[in-house]
Amino acid sequence: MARIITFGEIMLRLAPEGYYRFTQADKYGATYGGGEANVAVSLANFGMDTAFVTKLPKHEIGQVGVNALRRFGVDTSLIARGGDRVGIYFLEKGASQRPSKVVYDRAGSSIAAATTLDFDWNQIFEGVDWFHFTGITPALGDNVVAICLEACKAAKEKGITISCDLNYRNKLWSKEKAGQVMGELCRFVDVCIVNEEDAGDVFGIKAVDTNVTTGKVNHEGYKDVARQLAERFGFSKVAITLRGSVSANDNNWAAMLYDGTKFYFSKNYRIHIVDRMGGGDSFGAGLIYASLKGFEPQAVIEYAVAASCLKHSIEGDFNQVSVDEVLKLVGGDGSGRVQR
Amino acid sequence: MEKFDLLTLGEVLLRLSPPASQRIMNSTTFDKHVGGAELNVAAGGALLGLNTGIISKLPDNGIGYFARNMIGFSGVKDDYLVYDAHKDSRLGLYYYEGGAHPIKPSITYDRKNTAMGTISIEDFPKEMYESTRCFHISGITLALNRQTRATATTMIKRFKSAGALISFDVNFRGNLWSGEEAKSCIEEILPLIDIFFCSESTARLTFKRTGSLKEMMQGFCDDYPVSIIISTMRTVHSPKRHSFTSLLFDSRSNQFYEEEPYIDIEVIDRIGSGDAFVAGALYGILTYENDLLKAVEYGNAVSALKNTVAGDLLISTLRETDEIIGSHKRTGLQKEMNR
Repeated sequence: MARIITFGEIMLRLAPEGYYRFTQADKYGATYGGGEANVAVSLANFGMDTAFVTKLPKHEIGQVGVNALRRFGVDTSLIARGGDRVGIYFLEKGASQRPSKVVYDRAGSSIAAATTLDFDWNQIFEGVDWFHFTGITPALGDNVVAICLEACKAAKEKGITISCDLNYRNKLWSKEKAGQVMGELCRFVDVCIVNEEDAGDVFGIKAVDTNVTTGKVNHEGYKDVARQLAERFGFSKVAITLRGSVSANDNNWAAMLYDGTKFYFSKNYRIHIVDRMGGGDSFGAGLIYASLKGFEPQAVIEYAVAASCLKHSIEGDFNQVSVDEVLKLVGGDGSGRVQR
Repeated sequence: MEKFDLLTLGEVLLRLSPPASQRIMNSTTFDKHVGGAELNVAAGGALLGLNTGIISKLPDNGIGYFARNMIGFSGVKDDYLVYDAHKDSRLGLYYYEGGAHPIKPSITYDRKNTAMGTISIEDFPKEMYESTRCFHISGITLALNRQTRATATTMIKRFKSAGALISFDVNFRGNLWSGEEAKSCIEEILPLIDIFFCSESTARLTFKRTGSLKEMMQGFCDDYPVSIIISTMRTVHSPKRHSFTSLLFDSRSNQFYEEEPYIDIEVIDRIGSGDAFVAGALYGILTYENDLLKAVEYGNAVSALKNTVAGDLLISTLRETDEIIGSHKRTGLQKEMNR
């Protein structure tokens, strides 16, 4: 079976239950999440051999982070242990016109303070077919950029497919810095995943005639974005997720895949959001799964979008769906009728 | 007349605890509590009827506003709460799991690089120093970092010269600073302290004092112009069963005050019980200047009470506290329930 490594930060997610605001709630739901960890869990739920690499403190809060992954069958044996703290993000879920709010409290976490000495990539990549990371991880600091570079070089040498989700986070770094660092890392990347804003934020490549805040998405514009990205960095594939925000609760959701010659657009789904955190990551996981299983390009993008579509209906960062459930939706059953 | 009876300076922390009797390892929710040694003292004082306020710095975001709201809920005034708008500003936090014999309670701190760490003397108006009868601070604030230490020592001096009583609880935390560091820093400010809270073990281990507890307490008062020194005595039978009492020495009258210990307190949550003691003792000192036994009685009673309440902050009333003191002193038949 194909083996996948994802590398990044897993954080404690503290979210008031339901739609309570930060200032109201007297307890937090405690779950775990983080871009690459979400991808790892989703792939493990698809039955893939998946390991997540990060650094977590030795104390019990760090151990809970390990357990959160282990619970879903992710291989945690490569996680480095040490450092001071588990990064936290506070999430207040929005509804209708009130947007969701994220407060990061992740500075000084074990992974943000990690060094290249914490990871032996030649050993980590033993028997591995696919390596995935996101633009969030190098945003943690120059020391983590160095780790990402080592990982990419080692993966490239071993002929491992590398995917990267640009995932620009303006709370972590500037557009200029992101452009410079991601430009360097992307030279190693085979499969690039971006959302409707990332390419513009990081590389200044914008789709014409699109406004994400009005929910308007222009297909032709994104073809051009994908083509420019592939040309500049030599990606073999570019996938673009196309989220049209109608409100905090309702989004349009679709994606496009470019394989260097042709463009494949998925179906468009109208989704009612239960929890959008990890939505993009579940798309990445679907894309990796379908690619490793040798699906045709149209089937790859349909699978990835359907998997991600289902994620939006699930509480927490992790996508808890099976391959069967995704294929049912791809097959056209989006009615939401009870399945018995 | 001063606006406040008591102002305290200290860090406000978010406490994350699994719901009753669950472990951090498998809990899917954390109860949110707001606490911190000096806030606990201010909140306890407010419950007993003192006009109290907290001097602190919070992150300017929803997490900080939650703390501000809970401070308001506790009756502590927020006139001197300031906010840090830096995008990475954070509220310190700690994870706490209660124990049950033979498992001990456990705390994991996550309080580095917090908003409080940037607190500066410039954040506060000059009138603040004239606004209170008493200023209280604990060694935790001195231990946080260089910035909080500098701010705290300047504040102590300014409150002192404005005529406020200075109250200080050593509250030694080995994870924040070393014994030697604590000793030299605290000995520098001891000449300014009027009311000094110091446990027997801290007197011995940190301040290298010798002799009986009473001798050590008198020794501090011989060496420094401390008026009142108080030492609490907690006996831990198990994580859920403590006994508690305290000893007060008034150097001006050269007199000790003490009472029978509270035996077999049923501990629901011990966090903040030492701070509740300080609150009760300060309430007694500020309210009954000529009867220092009251300070011991209120301190012991609210400390015992706090042990029975979940969360860092004391939840009680002056009336309930008076009833507890009444039953504690009563030797005859005790009522089983209040009806």
